[in-house]
Amino acid sequence: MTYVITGFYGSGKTEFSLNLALELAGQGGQVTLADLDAINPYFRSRERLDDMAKHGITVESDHLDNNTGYDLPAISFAFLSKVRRGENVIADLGGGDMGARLLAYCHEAVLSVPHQFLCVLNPFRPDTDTVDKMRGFIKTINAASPLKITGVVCNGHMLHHTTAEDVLQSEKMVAQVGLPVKYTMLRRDIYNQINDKLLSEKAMVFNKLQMREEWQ
Amino acid sequence: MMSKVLMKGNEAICDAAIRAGCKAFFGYPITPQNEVPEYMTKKLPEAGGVFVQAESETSAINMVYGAAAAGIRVMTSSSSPGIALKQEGISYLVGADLPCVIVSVSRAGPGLGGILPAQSDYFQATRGGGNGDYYLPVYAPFSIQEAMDLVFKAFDVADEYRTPVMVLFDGMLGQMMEPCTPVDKKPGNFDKKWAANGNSDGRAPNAVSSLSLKGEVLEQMNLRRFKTYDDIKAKETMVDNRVTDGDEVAIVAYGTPARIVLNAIEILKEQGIKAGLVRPITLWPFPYADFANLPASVKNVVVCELSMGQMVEDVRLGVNGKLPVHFYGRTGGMIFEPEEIAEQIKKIIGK
Repeated sequence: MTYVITGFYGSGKTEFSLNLALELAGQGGQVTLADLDAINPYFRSRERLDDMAKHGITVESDHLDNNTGYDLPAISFAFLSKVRRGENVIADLGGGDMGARLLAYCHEAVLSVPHQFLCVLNPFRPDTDTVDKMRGFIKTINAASPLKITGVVCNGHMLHHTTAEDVLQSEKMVAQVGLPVKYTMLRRDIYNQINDKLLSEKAMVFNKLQMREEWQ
Repeated sequence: MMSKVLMKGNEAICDAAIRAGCKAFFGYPITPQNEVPEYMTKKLPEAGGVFVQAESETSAINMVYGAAAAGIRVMTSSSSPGIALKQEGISYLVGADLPCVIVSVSRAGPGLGGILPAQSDYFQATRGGGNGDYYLPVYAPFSIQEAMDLVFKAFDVADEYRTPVMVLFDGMLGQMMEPCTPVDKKPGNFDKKWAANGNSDGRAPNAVSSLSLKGEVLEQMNLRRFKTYDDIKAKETMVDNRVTDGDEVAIVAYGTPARIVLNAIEILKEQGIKAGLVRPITLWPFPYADFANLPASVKNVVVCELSMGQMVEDVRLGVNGKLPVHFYGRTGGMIFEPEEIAEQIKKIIGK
């Protein structure tokens, strides 16, 4: 299965992609995480290359040496051979419609295999803080990309300040967008409080944020 | 609509600027501040303002000069090498007593350097590279909320003292997100009688220029400007001084490193070492007095910067030889960890 992950800047695309990679790796089989972010060089999944390798996950980014300091659109499309073989591949796009334009290079391979194109939504981000804005955002992505979004991920959070109420309120809004809510992302302690109330098909439960240091 | 918002530093800068009545933005793309012009290109026209992507940083700062001369609240933003290109324009803005806000989201240098966060532009911000006798008020936030508050304030300070004001970020602060509450205040209202914005009402024309060929006139202008600087020093100096009596070390940091130092202080506390943070919020005017008046329990001062050591020179001026001033820094975009700082402090104080 190929998963293509899109969303607004800072919606949690990378955090979700890393967690999805860990979940799939836990089920066995090869997992490749393709970091396709050529939009913003900060907080990209290649920063967690070593951690992912410990779980047998391959992270591919540029065709140079995966350095986190590169601000180059030197995307490697080596992952496409794995897409075509039907392996588990997660393509973590750059932010917004600009990030999604990169799919022009690889949509044919993705369309030839079972795939999901998921949009990560956080209603606490100002550009997706109403149902209308979320729908508008999805329209923008669909217009820029040859793939059409098949489902959404509810990632309603306020970082360390997130409450169970925040997650439930976010889910209610995200459910109104009109696409299947494939996942809801939430911290373990919040999940334990509200797991019987979740609306999404699946919960993506994490213990600690992957992309955030304690001092941040 | 959600009641709280989660914003990136770069977005918070723009949100606060628009709320402060910024009506013009001129800029040129450079990592790691690209979200600033991107946000402004969408949101500033919606707020009745003008966005222009200039052909270079130099033209952007000169467009700022034009808008400021017309009495409009105006902002530009860039990162290290881009701010270097703006220095000439900044000096001209000062020479013409024009208010504006300049946002600097610093990356690693020198030269093109790299795109990762750094603080090696402290001298660039506080001493400047433009010609002539001048200073700029420089604000250095360490959280996204503070970024909003200080950008908003920067517009009022610029208008009140008729000076360019800089808000200095490191790349990390520009890029990271935090929950925040947008500023809900009225911006200051300043009657800009000096603005060159048309005299159809019959008043004498206003001219805005930094040129003054008569020595005795130019000297008087410089003296007047430095009287204003004395005023700014007296009224606008800001510091977050958390050193208390009993602390044996004062750790000095601004921006992102101040967050790391706070975690290092917790680690040291667990090991029985008492340390306190001094965080300059205005880098110019620098809070020298806080360093002259540290509690007697403080035996060492340690400055932590993402540079080879720049603010440390101001700290030494403040401490004035009374205590040893040490330095620890990382560069190139490398960021120290709290444990790393704690280890360095222990080494310095011999524990």
